[in-house]
Amino acid sequence: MKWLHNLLKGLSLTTALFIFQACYGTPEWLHDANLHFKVVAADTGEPLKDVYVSSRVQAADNLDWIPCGRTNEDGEAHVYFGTEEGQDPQFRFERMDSDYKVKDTVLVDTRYRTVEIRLAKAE
Amino acid sequence: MLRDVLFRLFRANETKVHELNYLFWECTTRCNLHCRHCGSDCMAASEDIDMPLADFLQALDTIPSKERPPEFTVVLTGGEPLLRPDIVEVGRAIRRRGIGWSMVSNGWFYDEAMHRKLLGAGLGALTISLDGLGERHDWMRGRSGSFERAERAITIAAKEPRINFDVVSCINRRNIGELDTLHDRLQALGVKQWRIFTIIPIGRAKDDPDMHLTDAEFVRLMDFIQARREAAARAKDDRMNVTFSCEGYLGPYERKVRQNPFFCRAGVTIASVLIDGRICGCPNIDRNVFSQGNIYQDSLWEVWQQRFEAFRDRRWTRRGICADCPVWRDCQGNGMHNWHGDCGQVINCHYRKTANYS
Repeated sequence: MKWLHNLLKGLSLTTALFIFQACYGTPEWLHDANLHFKVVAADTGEPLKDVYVSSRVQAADNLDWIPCGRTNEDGEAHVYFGTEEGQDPQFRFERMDSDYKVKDTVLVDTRYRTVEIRLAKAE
Repeated sequence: MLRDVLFRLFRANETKVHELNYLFWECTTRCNLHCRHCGSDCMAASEDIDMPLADFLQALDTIPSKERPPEFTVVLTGGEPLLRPDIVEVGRAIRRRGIGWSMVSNGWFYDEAMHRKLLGAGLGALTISLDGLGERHDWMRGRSGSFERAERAITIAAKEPRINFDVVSCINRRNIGELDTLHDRLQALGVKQWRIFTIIPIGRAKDDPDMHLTDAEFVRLMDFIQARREAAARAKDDRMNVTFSCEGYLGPYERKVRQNPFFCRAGVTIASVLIDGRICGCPNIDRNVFSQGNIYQDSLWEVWQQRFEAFRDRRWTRRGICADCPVWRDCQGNGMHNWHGDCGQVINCHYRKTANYS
């Protein structure tokens, strides 16, 4: 029963059941935050497909942008990422082969929010 | 006990829902080491060529994004994944899809430069193998210098807060005597999680008597882990978490040597894409018996949805010594990797090891 699965997963009291115990393999991927982005054109408000989302931690030196998602036909992308205390992740939105500007932004308090991103046309 | 009953219900529901959240990719079978316990008999010049990234991605993309839970992880395994020249590209391509990825490595090629490249490609979890100190590790791994390389990798990874990192050790008759020193060494290196295995009698390890603990040694290992866990719980400080891998049902040691009861999730939440495209549970399961399809002929997602019956209904394991076993309903035939060939008998019973000794 999916509803029971989801319920148990959502209850903090029982999430210990969902802690993955590896046999062969690695521990689970580390992420502690997720964000839902909606990317639209700044001038028309139309959703933008195939916008690549990357992230990096502001304070980390010399780290590349880490790809973490791509928008779908509705301009939506759901991304998961790991954060560290006191470090707000920075995001980059760019559409390849298009005339939209690349947008970088820093998001504070990133847990479980929907964020609208408006991409402006390149001049 | 009520707790056991509830866990059985939980396990039954998880099996019914069978949400895929952990996907192995055996991305190469080439390896630069020659481990005595290797289950896959991999070698530097494997007959299997590495699966092209595009082929794996095509299979991965059959999984609808709405069906992927947040914790969905692709686990790169081998062979030695770092032998793939395109490993960074592999990571970035997976991460670009909004999917997390991790890797099992022997650490030989894991230096600072590689660490930064992999982090930049979105590496989120890492496991490095260490099977003893100095020459003992080298003996197990079949190559001089392996220990130094593994220790270097561990030192780098242990300092990195952005990945979920653990060390795994295969305990055998040669290294069981150095559990305490190995523990102290790993803790001094800053390791937070140490996962301990035993070795199943398959591949190269099958006929090697040094690989397999006696029942008494196995119980000694359980006692060691239990004592370390209890000490850590009492101290409530930042000491290393020692745990036994979820490789089998442990009878009296259940909940004492790991956080949750035994639950073999192969085919329930775990699948793998093997080097030749076959789709199975975990890569160490007998692929000639339990493969469920092939990505070159089938949709990975459809196979996951419609097949895997033997993984999700384990009643077939009530045979051999399991037929009348009093703990079957909690054990359910032990881990699936313990059934090989004609599957007439489970090849490894952790419960009996503890029961025989006590």
